[in-house]
Amino acid sequence: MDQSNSKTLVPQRIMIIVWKWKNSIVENDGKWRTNHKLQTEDCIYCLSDKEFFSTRSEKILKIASECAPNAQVYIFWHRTSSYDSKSVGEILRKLKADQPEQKAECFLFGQGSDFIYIGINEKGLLSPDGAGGEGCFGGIRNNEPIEVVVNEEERIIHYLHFESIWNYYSHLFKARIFDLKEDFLLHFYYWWLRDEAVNPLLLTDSLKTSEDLYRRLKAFAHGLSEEDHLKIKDEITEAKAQRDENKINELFKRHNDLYVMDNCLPNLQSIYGAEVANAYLQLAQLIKENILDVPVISAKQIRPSEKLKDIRLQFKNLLHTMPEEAYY
Amino acid sequence: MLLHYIASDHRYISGLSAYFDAQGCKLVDYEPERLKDGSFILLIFSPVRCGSVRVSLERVWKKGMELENREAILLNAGFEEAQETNYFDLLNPPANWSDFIALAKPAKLLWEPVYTGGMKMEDKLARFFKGHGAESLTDELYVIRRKTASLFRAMDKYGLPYEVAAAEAFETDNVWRHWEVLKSRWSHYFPLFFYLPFSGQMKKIDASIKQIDPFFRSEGKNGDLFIQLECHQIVEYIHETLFTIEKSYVKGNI
Repeated sequence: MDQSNSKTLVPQRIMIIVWKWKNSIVENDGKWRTNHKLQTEDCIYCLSDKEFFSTRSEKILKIASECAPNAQVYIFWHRTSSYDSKSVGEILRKLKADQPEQKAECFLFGQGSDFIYIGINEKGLLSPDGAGGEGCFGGIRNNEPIEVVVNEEERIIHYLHFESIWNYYSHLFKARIFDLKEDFLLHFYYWWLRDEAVNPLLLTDSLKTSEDLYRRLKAFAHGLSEEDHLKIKDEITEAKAQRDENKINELFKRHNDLYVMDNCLPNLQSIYGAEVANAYLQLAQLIKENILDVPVISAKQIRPSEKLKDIRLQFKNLLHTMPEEAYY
Repeated sequence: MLLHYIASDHRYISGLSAYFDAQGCKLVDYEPERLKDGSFILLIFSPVRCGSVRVSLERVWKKGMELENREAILLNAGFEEAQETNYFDLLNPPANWSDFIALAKPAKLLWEPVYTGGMKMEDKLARFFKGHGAESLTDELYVIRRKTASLFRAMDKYGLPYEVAAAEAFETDNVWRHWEVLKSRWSHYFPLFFYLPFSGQMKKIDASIKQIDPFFRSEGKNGDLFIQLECHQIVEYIHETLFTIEKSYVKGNI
């Protein structure tokens, strides 16, 4: 947001970052403001991930209750130490019940591989390893220090870093759904061009040849299962054992996409309400019926050219009910 | 009929080969030197994938063809559901390609390409060129250019030795830090320029940045590098090239 343009003022924006913060950052209420001259109510609350889940949830609800009734609240959850599948939906539901006018979203991050980190984005916020392995604002990028804090005593950070993160995450869910749509239609384009009735199991088999797309689609339509979580954990453990940094980074990016898909529904419900959630559920159902959950023995025949058009239409319905752009 | 295409994924082309054969069309990978040919037709499979994002670049290309070949025809193809001239809905292809082309408008006319849902390249370009922005390159380049020009002038016009001229030119503003920021921002943008009408110029800028990087990385300690690598001339070249692109594609209101 350009500081000189007062017409672009938006409701109060709050980030709550649950992370391995060093004590000096989370002490008192862990609140940091930005130096934006106009958006003076924007702020970041830093919460330690060492606390119990229930304590953190209470703190998040308390913070939200003290914010403007129409505030936008982004919760950033340290994936490796504090995440489980149900927790995202739970906290968003509680926030919605307490503050129905606020727009809350929840994002996972971890291992220095997300846009919120200085190492990935020069206008990021976090350094993955501060002194003693604890987290802090700012960090080193390309051997150069990046200063995020403007005034430590008054707890003020530079607004450009806040803007960069806010802009990116404002578009995250729509961008990932749009990507899924494009990848899905391109993958099945060959079947669409054939224009003949086929057993849908052939489509399921075809999808499985593209493991990345298959897993994303499953996470989108079904959510991640226990088995999926175990697989994610095993893949990381194996890559770490091989000390293959490139593979580890690639896996984190892929896994993050899976988590975004897994968390879509509770977030869409919280941000946009029932209409978008319904569009999502209808799309998920269509994908399950025609691609993912086809019975192993099925005499059913479908025309991919028709089904793909149905699925495209449902993607369109979902994406068009999300008013923002897919990308910033 | 010869169709030049731009696609970031070959599956579009392999999937459609039978269709285009049946329509009597031959698809060839876009070559910039053919852009000014008569009866030039460009088909962009949009959005294109650039790194981790999908980019819709049809509006920038419309401008590019207005500038380079006003009679040429720009078509874009995508999964967006739309029925417009110059747009090829991949799930609803034209039954007769000759009829489709006959209705297509040349670049010189006033029309807007169908937006295919990706990152709007025209907006991204505006932010790239906008001064004072978090994504802008202009401010960084301005500081660097001022310093290299001042250093070059002091040596060339007034005959000062490098050490003396450099001490004065680089005394303030931490030009080395500005160079790091410029490189970082450039590395973010450069992949997004890959399929644009001016991608060739952007590739030359990328090579130019790499060429003079050793001087800036040495933080000016090696004065010979400034002359050998033609740092002043290269910075001027980068500035002039970007200025020309901005004037054509951003200030020209895409």
